[in-house]
Amino acid sequence: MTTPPMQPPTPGNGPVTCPMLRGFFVLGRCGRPAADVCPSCGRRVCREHLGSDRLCVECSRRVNDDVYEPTWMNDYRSAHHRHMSTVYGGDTWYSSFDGDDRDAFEPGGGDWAAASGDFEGDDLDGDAGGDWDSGDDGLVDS
Amino acid sequence: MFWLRQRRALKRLHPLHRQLVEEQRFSTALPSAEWTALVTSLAAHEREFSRRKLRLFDRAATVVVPVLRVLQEDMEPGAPLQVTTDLRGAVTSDKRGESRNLEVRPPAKSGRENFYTDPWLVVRAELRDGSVLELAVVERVRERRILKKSRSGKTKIKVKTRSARVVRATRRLPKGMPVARPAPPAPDWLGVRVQQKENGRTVLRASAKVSADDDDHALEQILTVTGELFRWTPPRTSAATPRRAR
Repeated sequence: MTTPPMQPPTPGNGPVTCPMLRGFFVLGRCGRPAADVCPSCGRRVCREHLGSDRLCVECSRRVNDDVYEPTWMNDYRSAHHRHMSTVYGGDTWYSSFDGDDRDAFEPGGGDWAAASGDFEGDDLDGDAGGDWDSGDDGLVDS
Repeated sequence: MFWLRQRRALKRLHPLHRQLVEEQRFSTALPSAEWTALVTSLAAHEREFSRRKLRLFDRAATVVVPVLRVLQEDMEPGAPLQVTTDLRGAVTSDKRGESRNLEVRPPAKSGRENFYTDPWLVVRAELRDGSVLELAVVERVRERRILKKSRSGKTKIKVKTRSARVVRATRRLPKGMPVARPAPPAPDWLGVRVQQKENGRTVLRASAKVSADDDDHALEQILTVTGELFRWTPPRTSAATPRRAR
């Protein structure tokens, strides 16, 4: 159950369709006519994928365990796919990551940025890298 | 006055919701989108009814409604979704099957063993990808009733029950849909069978026998067994392309 590739927005002047994920076992993009704009991500989504807080179901981070809530499906689908990854020994684990998770690993993004936080000043590049070439394996006998 | 208000509320319910309250069971086939009205009606149940007699069994909210919503998500709005549910419990006279006497020793006077089969959720759904999914959740219960007479002359009946849950899912694929054995095999407790029919269709069956004591994880068990059938076919690459316009 892998996520199908993101479809580009409806080309031309045709009606804008909802880009949200639809389905549980048979995954696909929603494709219903878009009704409103999510103020957080700016995507146009249909009514079914708009939560009570007016955010789209992907931006709405509330964990919703009320089965009668319209946005329950989105949260439960993610939770179930995580559960399935434990049943099948982790091989489907990566399919449960969403776009936000993957963005953190993009060059220049998240904590991997050169100037950000904990990695700044670490001797992992430049001259310090020469240590690895000198034959010193960096291990010290005690 | 209080009871009168609840009785009026009962009359206003969705017909299937009312049947579920009064008989704890229903069986019907409706277009997928029309089940939303039942889910909406059930959502207000706790708020509307407080009498013990009118309470719904937990399985309605923890299993039946989630399964409905999951299948609706995978169906076109007009595709038929057939649901048969019976939440009365397994130990009822009409679900009793085989029965036999047990050999007993004093102080037991007699013993009887009854077996019950309770298919409490049976579903048939035509999915968006053209396949037909059938799901059955069956509780099997063994009940032993031992009649004992104590020295003081009191007669007591001891009843012990042991139950198991069988989850069976069948997916009939449309003609020509490719099937491939998934790389990580199914866990040991989950059996899968693939059958190639003469008419060119492939039928995938998955079944598992799980603990019936754990109702909290019943939904997970059901969806894990059902989900196994979808690992045997490649994911759809095109989005929102309905099989047929209804």
